[in-house]
Amino acid sequence: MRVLPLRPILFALAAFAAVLIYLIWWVSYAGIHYIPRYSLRPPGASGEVQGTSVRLLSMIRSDQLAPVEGGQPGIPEPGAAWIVAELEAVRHDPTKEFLCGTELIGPEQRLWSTASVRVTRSTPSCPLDLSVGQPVRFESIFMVPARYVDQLSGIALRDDSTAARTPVIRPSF
Amino acid sequence: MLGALAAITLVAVSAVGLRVSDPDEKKFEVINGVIGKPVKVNDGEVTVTQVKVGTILKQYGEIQDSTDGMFVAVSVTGAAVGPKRLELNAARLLSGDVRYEGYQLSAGVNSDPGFQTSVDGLFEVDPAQIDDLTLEMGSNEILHGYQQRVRIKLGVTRANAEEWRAVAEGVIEPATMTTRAIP
Repeated sequence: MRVLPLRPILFALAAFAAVLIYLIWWVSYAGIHYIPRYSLRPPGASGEVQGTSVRLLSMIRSDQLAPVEGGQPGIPEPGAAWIVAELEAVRHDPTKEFLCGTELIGPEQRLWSTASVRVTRSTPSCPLDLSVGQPVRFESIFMVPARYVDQLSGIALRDDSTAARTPVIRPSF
Repeated sequence: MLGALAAITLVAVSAVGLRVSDPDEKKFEVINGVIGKPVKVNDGEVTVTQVKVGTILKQYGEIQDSTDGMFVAVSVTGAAVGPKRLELNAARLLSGDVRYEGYQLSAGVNSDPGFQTSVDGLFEVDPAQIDDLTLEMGSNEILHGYQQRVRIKLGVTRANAEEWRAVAEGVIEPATMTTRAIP
């Protein structure tokens, strides 16, 4: 009776297991990093991102953006509307910097980035060098098709440096 | 140690073998279309509505350039009809084995969800090589999987190429980019 070569079989099994572990790791990594995952916060609650607590104070629709110095208002593209989100940020980790990565989430996870507006606003769009513990208000402005205005979920606080779920904050009303 | 070296060698040989045996295989799916009809690609639709030709380029009310060849402006509308952003930021013209890249950076079209963007993609071509002129659009990605690319024939054929060359003498004025919500 022939004896099976144990060492080559064990080596092949070890190689197969190593490949399997690699595939499982890669599929898990890709699932976490490339498929957006969100954590919907309760209305009025803050979200944590980059060592900063961010709260959505209000989110209103507007067909015009008023400039702070007067003059021509900002008009959205045909069939679209402005969504003006007023936010409050409190930095509590001096080693991290809040980068204002806000996105508006609509139905079926439609995402809109902040719009480039050609008017000067009274509220800053992104506060830099936040002092620790000091609340600062800022606004994010989005342009969305008017038909989605009533189907918005909230503001996603995006941070590409972490695999954690992206917090989605909502106004308290 | 010997096993690891053998494994690395086998992987390298396999990679080289795959590459050598498959050098010209398309790494993308081609979706063909015709001018005037929307073509579904990725998460949106793209439509070519018009083709303009000329030899003198006028933009922003001023003559910007002229060519001994031929400028071709392709009016394209990209509509992000699905939940994702439509990104067709790479555009070129094909005529047989000849490829013409965009004359300006903004030859492609991108749209946020629910929006459609129209742009005149501008190309400079050799008038002697415009048979079966086709617009190809895809996305520029450093790392990508199996892409979709749309190819839309612009109506320039071997039979009517001479007519296109004849009407190219003159000013061409590409339209500026416009965006609107999808109706």
